[in-house]
Amino acid sequence: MSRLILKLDNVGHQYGDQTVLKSVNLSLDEGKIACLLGPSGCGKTTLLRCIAGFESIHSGTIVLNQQVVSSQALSIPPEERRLGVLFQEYALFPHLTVSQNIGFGLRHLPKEKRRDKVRDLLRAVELEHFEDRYPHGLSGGQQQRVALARALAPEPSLLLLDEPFSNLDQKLREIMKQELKSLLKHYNVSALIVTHNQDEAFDLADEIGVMAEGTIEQWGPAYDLYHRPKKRNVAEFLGMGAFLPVEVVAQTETNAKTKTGEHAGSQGYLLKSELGDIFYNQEVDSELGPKVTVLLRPDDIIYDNSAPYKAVVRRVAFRGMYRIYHLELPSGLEIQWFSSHQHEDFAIGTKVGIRLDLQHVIVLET
Amino acid sequence: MTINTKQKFGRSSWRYFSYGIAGLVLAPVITVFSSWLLPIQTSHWKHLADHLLAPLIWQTAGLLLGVCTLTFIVGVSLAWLCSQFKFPGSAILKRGLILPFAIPAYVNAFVYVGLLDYAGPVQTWMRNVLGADFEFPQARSLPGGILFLTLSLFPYVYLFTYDAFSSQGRRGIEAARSLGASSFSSFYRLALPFARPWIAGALCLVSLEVLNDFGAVSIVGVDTFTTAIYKVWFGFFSPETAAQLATILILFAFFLYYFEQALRSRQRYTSNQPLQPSIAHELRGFKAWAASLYGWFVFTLSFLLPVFQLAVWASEKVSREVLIDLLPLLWRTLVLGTMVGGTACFFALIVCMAKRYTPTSSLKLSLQVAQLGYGIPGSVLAIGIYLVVVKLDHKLADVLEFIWGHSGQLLLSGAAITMILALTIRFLAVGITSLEAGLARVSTRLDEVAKLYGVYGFRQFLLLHGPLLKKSFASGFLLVFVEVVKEMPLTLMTRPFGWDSLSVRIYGLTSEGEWAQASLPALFLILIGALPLFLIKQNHRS
Repeated sequence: MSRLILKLDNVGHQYGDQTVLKSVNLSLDEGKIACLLGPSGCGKTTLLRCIAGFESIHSGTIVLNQQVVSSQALSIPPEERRLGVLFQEYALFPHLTVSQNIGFGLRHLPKEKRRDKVRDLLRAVELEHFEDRYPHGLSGGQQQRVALARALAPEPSLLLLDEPFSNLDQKLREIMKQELKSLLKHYNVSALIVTHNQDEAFDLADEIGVMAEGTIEQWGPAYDLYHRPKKRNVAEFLGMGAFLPVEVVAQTETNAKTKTGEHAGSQGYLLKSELGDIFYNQEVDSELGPKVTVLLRPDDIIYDNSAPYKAVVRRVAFRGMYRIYHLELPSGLEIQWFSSHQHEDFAIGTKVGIRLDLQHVIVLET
Repeated sequence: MTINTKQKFGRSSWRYFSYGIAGLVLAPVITVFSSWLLPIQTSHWKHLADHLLAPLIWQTAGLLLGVCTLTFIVGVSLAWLCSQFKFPGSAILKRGLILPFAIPAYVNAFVYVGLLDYAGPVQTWMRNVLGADFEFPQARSLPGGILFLTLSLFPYVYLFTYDAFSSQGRRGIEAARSLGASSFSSFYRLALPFARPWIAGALCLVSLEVLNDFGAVSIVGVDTFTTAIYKVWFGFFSPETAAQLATILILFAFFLYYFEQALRSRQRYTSNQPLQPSIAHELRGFKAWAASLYGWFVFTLSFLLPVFQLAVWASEKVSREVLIDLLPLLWRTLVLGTMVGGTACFFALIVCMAKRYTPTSSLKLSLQVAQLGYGIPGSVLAIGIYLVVVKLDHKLADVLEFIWGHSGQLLLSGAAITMILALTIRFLAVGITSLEAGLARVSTRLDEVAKLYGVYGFRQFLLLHGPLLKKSFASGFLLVFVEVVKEMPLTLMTRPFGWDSLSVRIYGLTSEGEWAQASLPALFLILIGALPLFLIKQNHRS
């Protein structure tokens, strides 16, 4: 069993009379990397600042290394939390050299030790020859490495990163992602990363929390979030997709012939849609009522000219290795279809035959 | 309750000093207003109402209106010409038109009064050449006052508007031209409305300077509120009545000051792309020469001619004795500027850092209050401080008498420290503006990194903000220094008896009509006054 490094219980935060965070819960094991993913303004940066101790919380508790660091009554100052923080804009001290920046959090160490430690870190981030440079003389990627080394220097148990790659170009972003991952492994540091970039989260994180309107909507591994979203806003935020309106027709145990076929015979629900019947082998939340939606990812749709269901091509986005077709159903609903076959090249206005190929049926609210 | 003793300890000391400084600025203002609680001397007010008040109000109003109109016309037209067009000499004018800033209005006034006097070179020359006496417009008049104040104040409008026109970038103007607007109509319909907050802000500053002016209006013999306050104080020996009169002025000045502050927030660049500097169109033929003539005419009147005339006078009067006589004045002026510059920036630092470390509403307010002094005309501030100091002095004398049995003299009235504090209060805003601008460039994330490693309060200042604010502190110091050197009424009214600075000496000489004698100290002033102009250039470059 790995040790719990961070645990948030019902954390709430207000700014004036505006609620920024409401009952946020999360827990993170030692050595793991987690991402907080969400649109801007959802409160993810505020949450990070609460954990760091820059903001106090108004309800709930934050437990770090088995010690309560924040509650309504208590706020342990940031320097006693043993945290590293990597800010979006790096926040390097412009009047200090690279090695002075890295050594800033090591002032309690004797001079010799401090110098060795700074050297060690400089080597780890591959900036050995830059120790006497000032931050303004460094490139964006180098500045970030210095900031990373500075954050890691006091050996924090947890590193908090706020949109760490947003100031880098695409190519550098890929490199830095890998470097960050290996550095975290090397120093055995857990990390909580705030980002609005889905690819970044999917690449880096062992676990992801999708945030919306001040709370974590869903927490889990990337695969679960993408394929088993529990709420519509989670599904909307992660990747493309449409929500097909369906009606819960009947609970069924019969060998009803469904389009997906493979679940026939097991217990479940029959869902009626304009793209045919769908069999759902789990409980439908009764609170949702009879009218619900089913999530259609672009890869849930298959081209089949013999299929009875037709859709009109409205827009094509050519992405090199694949195309995304935006199709309009007779009801007017727009769905997306992913095609990697170069020969499937349809002009706008073409009617194409499609059928559903649902690996996981996700039933969500309308 | 958040328990964080380290943080609290680090912050509290800044906080109380900040309140103290705000109190120091507020004390003279409150005293001026509380003068209405004292017995009102009806005989003085009757005299004022019968003889002074009406001309006072309309002359002040006329002066304000005239200077604002003229600075608007001259400043905006030159800003448009220099920012949009190329014409002979435009490159020099572009930079040179800030130079008139270095000439205080009272120097302009005495130079022109001296030039245009009956015995002055212009009228003498005309008599000699034309051979007859004829009516010449009086320089010592309201229109004269308006003209001389305009000559030294139009650079405010020019600089602000130039900034607005060039920050607008060329995209907007190009879009207008592509839609068929002529050069003039794109100016009138696009550039001018866009620059409105800048122009209005500059005009507020101009108005404040006009209300503050004492030297120029006394030279041209126009009675305004400032001179009236001086007359009531030293003529009637009634500081209370002077303070009551001052409340009218201060209310108007505060209104202007806050209007200007409010406008500042609207001076934003609306473009979200990096600005492309507008490319100047090359003017040709008649237009080019007309533009050039106009620009150089203003530059000559506002800078070249006064400096030339001062140099001519100075070369006539300069001698070993004169220089030896001036040296102590120069020395005192430099010492005064240094001391006030240092004090003002030190106070500004405390007020700014207090707000930075604990951004509570009370500390934001005390930062605001600390800047009030800039909105108070010098003569009003002098009265307020005089009233506070007299009261304190009597209290102090009572205490000393109780301890030692005899009171001796009044300690604070007419002491150098009173003058230094008065000037500090007046120019604290200049230091604060500079430091605030410097602090705004230091991301608060840096403060958080420091906190993360347990560095708070004074230690945070030593390790982080101190080194980072060095430049802002230095430029704030220089700007205050130059303001103090040029300042006249407040120094005149709060100085120790018989203590002259350059500006006070110029006032003394010009009030006796000794224009030529005043030329050498005036040249010294202009030299020192040119200092911040180089500084501004440096800042623009970095």
